[in-house]
Amino acid sequence: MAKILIVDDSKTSRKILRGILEGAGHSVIGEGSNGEEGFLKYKELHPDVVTLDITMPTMDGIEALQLLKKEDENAKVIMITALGQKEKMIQAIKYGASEFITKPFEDDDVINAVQKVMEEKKV
Amino acid sequence: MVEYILGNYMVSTGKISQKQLDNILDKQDQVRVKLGLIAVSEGMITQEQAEEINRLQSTCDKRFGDIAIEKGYMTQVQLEKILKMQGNAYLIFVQSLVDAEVLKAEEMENVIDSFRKENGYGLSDMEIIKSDDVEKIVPLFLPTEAEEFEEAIGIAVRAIIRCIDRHTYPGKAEMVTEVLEDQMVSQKLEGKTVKTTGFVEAEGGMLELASVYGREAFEGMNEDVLDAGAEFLNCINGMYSATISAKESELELMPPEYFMAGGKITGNKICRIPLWVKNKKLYFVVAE
Repeated sequence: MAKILIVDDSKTSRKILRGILEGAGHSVIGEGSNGEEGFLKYKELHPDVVTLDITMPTMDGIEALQLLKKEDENAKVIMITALGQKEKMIQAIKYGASEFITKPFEDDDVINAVQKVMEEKKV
Repeated sequence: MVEYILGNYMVSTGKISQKQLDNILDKQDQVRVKLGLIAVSEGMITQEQAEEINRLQSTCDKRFGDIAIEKGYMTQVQLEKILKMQGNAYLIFVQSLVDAEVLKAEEMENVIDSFRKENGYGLSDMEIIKSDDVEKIVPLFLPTEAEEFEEAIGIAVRAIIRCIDRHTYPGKAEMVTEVLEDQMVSQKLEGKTVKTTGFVEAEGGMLELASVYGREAFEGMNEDVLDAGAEFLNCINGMYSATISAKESELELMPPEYFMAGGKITGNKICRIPLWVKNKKLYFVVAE
């Protein structure tokens, strides 16, 4: 089971993700409400996986992803996005995002994405 | 949708009582089988395929049948067959009214006629309403000046129907010069032009929407309700952006905002449409 850090400016999204992930037996070890906070929590908590919202005020997910990858090139980051953000998704792939989850959340999509990333991590 | 539009009109004109309508709609809900269930029970698709389509439906602006055909799970002929089996919502509604001895079948013609005249609809418009085709019904509720907002509003209504409440229905939209309300959420979409969309609380509709999306039974308005409303707005705008990006250039979604007091949406052109979610009213707003 994975230790997960959730970074999202929306309390609702953080709560829904936490519910899905904990329901699947994962452990949510921290939350951040913007990119900067997420980056600091990552350094402090060393999670297995980070879920990172793309659209956030202060520091968005793309900027935070670059920082995370600079800090730890093996960081496993799942980007959270609404549909229609193709350019941002291309940027996220370029900067090393492992997976994508589209909002609104579907439980199976979230669980499958984490499982996939954890399998990659083992390899 | 048709049963809610006509049913509420009949209540407002005193043809039937709210209680009679609620009873009929409850029964109709039990009788009308979902398309996916018919397709599975007819052996056209598997349960897993139906669940996959349901999942996809929540994140894109497509109908069940369209996804099933696109995925190669079903043919057009099969889709037409199950649509026929599901039955027409308008006819089921009339049948339910007659069975409950609330109205005689011939009286329905008068209801349709007065509804048509009061709303300025033509005979062909009424055929569209009777067809219960959401995609075609929503534009009938928009003023002609709102033509360029048709897609954004259509996507919003269909997303609410798919993700929040399948009985959501619209009222007549209007063009306004600005929207000033206390409890509202909004989001800017930047592309060739800047659009703003929003949800404005009216009579509990936002609370209902937020409770379903946020997976929590909210009891009153607070920041958590607005946060959930803003997140759902973000999802809708993502669907709209995906549609527009396929035709023009990409729209960038700015972080959604919410206001407990002093919310404001401005623009050169603003359209506001009332929507009833779980029978409670809210407004969806598009501005440019």
